Amino acid sequence: MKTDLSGRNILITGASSGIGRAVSILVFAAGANVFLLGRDTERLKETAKLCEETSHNDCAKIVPMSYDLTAEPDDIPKLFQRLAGDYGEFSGLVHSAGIEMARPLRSIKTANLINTYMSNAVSGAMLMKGLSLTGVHNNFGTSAVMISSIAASCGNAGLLCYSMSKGAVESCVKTLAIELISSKIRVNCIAPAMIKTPMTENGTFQKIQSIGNERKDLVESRHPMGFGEPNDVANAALFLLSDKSKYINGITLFIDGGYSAQ
Amino acid sequence: MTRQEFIQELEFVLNTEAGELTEDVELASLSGWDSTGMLGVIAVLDDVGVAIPVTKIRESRIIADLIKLAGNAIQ
Repeated sequence: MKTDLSGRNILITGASSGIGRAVSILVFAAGANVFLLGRDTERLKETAKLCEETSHNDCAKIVPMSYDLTAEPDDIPKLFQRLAGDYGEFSGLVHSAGIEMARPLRSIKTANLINTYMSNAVSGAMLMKGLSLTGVHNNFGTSAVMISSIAASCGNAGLLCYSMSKGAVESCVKTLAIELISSKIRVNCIAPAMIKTPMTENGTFQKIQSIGNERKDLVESRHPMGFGEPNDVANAALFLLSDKSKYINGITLFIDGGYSAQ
Repeated sequence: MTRQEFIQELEFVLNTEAGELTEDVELASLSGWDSTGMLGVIAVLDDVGVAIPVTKIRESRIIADLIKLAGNAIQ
């Protein structure tokens, strides 16, 4: 049975590329009104265009918004309130925005840790604060999905800043899954392994490849089914947003092609 | 960042004793000159605003070559 999110408002961060873009396209195709957050206005427009081209959904709205979640995190709840005032209550959130950072321990500065934490974890917590406010979320059932990473639970040399921040995301999800039950908000996490996205292609992949093929081969060999695609994650997000997952709360769903089974 | 501070950062990422690195030290002689060490050198160069193709880092022979890559970004 096709997943139906008709009439629901879903906010997606990191919508300008990669996993966030893939989620936006699938969620719009499922009938939802999508609110696309990202820093790059042009790429957000591309995502909006892709949504339209892919599903020809005349009933649903696409609202792209250029927004930097790290600029004033305390203002994020106000953004949610404003949007809910203009468009109605939200039934879902997918927090996909984030940065990666490949730095060995000995080169790490406090600023590296704080910046990654702000981008990946603090923004997620403030988004949840916004979604939890009265009048912002749908009282009949709301679902929030945070994109974590396999790096939160499996060690990877050189990814300390990233793995710490994603570990915080997963802790945030567990706490809020319990705290927000009375508000009928489910909170879950998706932990992908290496997914082929612009972020990984231009960041970690590029560095690993340029250092030496032996290291890239090592990373690939740790993925029993190879690297994943953005849609592998987007399909999981769609499931967690839908009523098909209505009894799932506080979990981390690994989308890793068997990475964590080793 | 001063030249001395840059060398000190290289000592961290290449896992050497403080004061061990001089400009003529051969990188291949350092146990820390591996893929993680190179990733660290990329990070140190990134901190001074220098983005260098890693092929250049791999081609470096001695510490002075890494200082050269930093160019005017260090004093």
